Amino acid sequence: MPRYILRRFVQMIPLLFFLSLLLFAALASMPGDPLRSMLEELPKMTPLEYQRLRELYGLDDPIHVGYLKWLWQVLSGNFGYSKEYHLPVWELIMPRLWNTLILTVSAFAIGKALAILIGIYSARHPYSPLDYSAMGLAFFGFSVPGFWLGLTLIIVFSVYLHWFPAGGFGSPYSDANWWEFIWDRAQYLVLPVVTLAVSETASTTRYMRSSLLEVIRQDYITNARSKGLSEQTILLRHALKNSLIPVVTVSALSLARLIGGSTVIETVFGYPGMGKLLFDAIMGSDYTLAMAILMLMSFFVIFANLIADVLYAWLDPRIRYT
Amino acid sequence: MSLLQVKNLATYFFTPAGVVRAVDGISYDLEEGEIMGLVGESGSGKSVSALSIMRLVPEPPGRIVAGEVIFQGKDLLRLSGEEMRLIRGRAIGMIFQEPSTFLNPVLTIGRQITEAMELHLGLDRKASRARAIELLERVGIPDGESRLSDYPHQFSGGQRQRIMIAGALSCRPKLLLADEPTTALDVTIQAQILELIKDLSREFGISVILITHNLGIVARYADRVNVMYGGEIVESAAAPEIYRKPWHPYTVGLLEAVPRVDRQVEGELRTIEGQPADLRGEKTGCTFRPRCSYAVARCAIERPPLQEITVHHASACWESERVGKVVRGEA
Amino acid sequence: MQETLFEGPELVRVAMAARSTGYWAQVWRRFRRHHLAIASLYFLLALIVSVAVVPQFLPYEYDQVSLQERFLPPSWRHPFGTDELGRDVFTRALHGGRVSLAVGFSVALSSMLLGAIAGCATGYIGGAADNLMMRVVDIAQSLPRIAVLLVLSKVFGGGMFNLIMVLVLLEWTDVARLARGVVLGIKVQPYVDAARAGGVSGMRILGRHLLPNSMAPLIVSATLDAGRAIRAETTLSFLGLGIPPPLSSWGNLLTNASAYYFTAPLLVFIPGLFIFATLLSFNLLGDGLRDAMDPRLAEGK
Repeated sequence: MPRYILRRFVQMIPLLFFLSLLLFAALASMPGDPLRSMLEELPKMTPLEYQRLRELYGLDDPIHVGYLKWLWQVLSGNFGYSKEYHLPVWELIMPRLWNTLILTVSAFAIGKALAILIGIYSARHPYSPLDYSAMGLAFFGFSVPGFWLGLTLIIVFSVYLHWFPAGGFGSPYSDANWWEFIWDRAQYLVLPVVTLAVSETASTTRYMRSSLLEVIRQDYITNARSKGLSEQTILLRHALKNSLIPVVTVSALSLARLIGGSTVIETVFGYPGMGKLLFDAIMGSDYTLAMAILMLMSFFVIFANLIADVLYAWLDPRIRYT
Repeated sequence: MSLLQVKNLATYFFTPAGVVRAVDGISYDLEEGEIMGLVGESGSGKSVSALSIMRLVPEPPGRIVAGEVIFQGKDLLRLSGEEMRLIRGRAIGMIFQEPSTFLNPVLTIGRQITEAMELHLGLDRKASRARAIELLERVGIPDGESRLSDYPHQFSGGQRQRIMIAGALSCRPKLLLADEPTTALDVTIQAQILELIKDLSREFGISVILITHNLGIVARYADRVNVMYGGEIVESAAAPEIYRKPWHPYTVGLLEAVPRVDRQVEGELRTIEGQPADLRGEKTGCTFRPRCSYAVARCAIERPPLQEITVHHASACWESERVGKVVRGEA
Repeated sequence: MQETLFEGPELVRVAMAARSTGYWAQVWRRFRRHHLAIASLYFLLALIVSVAVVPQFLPYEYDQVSLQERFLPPSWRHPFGTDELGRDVFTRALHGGRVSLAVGFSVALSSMLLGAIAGCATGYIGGAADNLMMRVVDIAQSLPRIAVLLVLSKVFGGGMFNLIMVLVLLEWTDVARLARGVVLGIKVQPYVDAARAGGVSGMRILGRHLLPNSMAPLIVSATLDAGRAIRAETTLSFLGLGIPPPLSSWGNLLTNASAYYFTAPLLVFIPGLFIFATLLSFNLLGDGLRDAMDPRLAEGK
């Protein structure tokens, strides 16, 4: 198993390499001079200093040298300078990264847990009224456009019902205690998390149901029954692991979509995360910042894929030994 | 009293395309320690009859519609679900045709062998593992201790079948249902597995219903043989009798279709004309009649019951005596 | 939102079934039983006809401003009321439908064509070309799609053509992967070897055997793709990056409307409902088609 993890990790590296190449090429072809905002900040910069900066970032070098210099900068934590905010990119991203992670991970965890539970129940009682309702709701869920759902939820729950705030992140506080702090933040998270989670949860529920239905038909389940095991034991010990395998593999893609989707949702709700920052950066033509965020998001996606692969190997022993 | 008495068992499948009479009134007795061969082609209902005994027939679309299955004095068909669960894996064990699909790929073989013991015999993990190692030894898989934590895909086909046997026999059942246990295996392995089953039967006094389409297997390893066609038992006799003195046209056809290694093959190989019976729709008369070269008028009207021709040898054919004589004349 | 389509051996089974005669007749028969899918088909057809034809007969232009008549509730003259500039919402919704549907179909068809050819070709040729394709697919799958779409939209500017181009750019890899899967499964079939042995050129094998066989899963994929494309387009337009005003799409109808969600929530509901209904229809249709094409559910097993 550890060997398998190592192997997958090693396979990740060329992918990361190509990705960075792609993003660098994209960045290099963006209009605008990345150093311009720095110039505006420091009008007293001499042409010599400017020239030195250009050399540092490899802006005048042939493309392959430029790439290496850029890569070196990135690996040492320097993602460049945001022209909109007049701050180093990393300083901008850091605080918001945490916010986005809270949003995305909550949506993922809650969504998947719910989806698996409902999917299992539906598969155990197929064609029952509850099954039909659940599947119907699921269909609705992944057909609704996320941004519109967000707007609608705001209108219903925030404007008319006043249950939740319409957007933002948290109320200003002076000396609230731990619990009040969490409770307050949670209020602001409910609607965005729900909006973000709906689509993926819906499709995962359907997938879980069909996967489990498929597994229950398998021969080894008949064998298990022939030994007199109870239906519950059969479900938990024999069926579950097998049915989770395809669901886990799909979940990696799911997380990718959640991370991308957070861009839209954060913008709709005014939630100060990485996604909203990306949107603002794009609107302001701040491509240095935009590319850095894109790269970070891609990195998360690749990492999520790795975890999904590892989980897959843990569930299915046949993979481990090949 | 016999260990198992099946009386007029009938199992139908209710499909959109019609009612399929997979098993249409079969009866037989099985003694303790006896190995019974259940022979028939695909679609003859032999597998379904075994699943019916275990009450494992998928409920929609299937259903056991009639009959009694009296095992150790109790009618299994009248038991509640819970009571039946106690019988399965404990008093009756079952092994299946395809060891690769009937073993769970994500569970260790240790788990799959011990789970019945832990459930029915109340053994704890240590005890059941010890027993599992013994079982593996007995079925011919050495080094059980370390292999318990291996997965099915790490074994060969023959080994997987042995593992399935170990799992089915872990609670020392009185009856073993073997549904085509060797069909998916290499010829050389087949013999080993069958020898194993026969040994275990003799050693522990386990009755076996050996389901197969292969006559050769039945000749060597069974004590009695029931030949099935179209959901019915058409002939029933001791194994040697079936070969030397068959009475039913279908059995005769099967035997004649087997090319003999010790003779010249003259002309074409013999086959049984026609297609296997369509199990849907109403049946009038004998199911085998469309393919039978001995049929007379009565065969189209009345369905022949299974009746004794000679001692312990029954056949379901109106013309049994004539058929037998013709075949003897030839042989 | 992407439902995984046929994968692996299932994929080959579906594709292979397309070879047997009577397959499409059977598909049609099975499809007819999916009432929801049929209803969706009718809805979509009605929608297409409506957005194409009805605006000719309406008394209003989509950009006809009338500041006296702002925020009117629904009435006979204005079935959906008027918006913040007094424009008739019904007219604008239909015009928006033209754009959104046009984008959806264009993207679905283009990416299906592009992906099918690329996937079939590289799958058949194998070797380095196939490896390259797989790398490309891997990279495409590692990118957060919407985020990249946003960036590319800004860079290439608005307008329908650019938007379609960008959407296709990100969609075709999925189709290519699907097509490649089919081809890999079929490539090892005996009849392909037979054709090659008979001297049939690679191109002909591609055209006669591989492409037609992958039709079934690709049709399902295209249907679902259309829905996804419309979803992406409306999202981009809503955020101001897709279709630029004054040209209306369902997405940018919502851009301004969202500012007025308190005073006139209908402005938010109507275009959104259109999008929702359309996406739902495409999904139901795709689902029905997928079930109809799966030979496992064949009658008289």
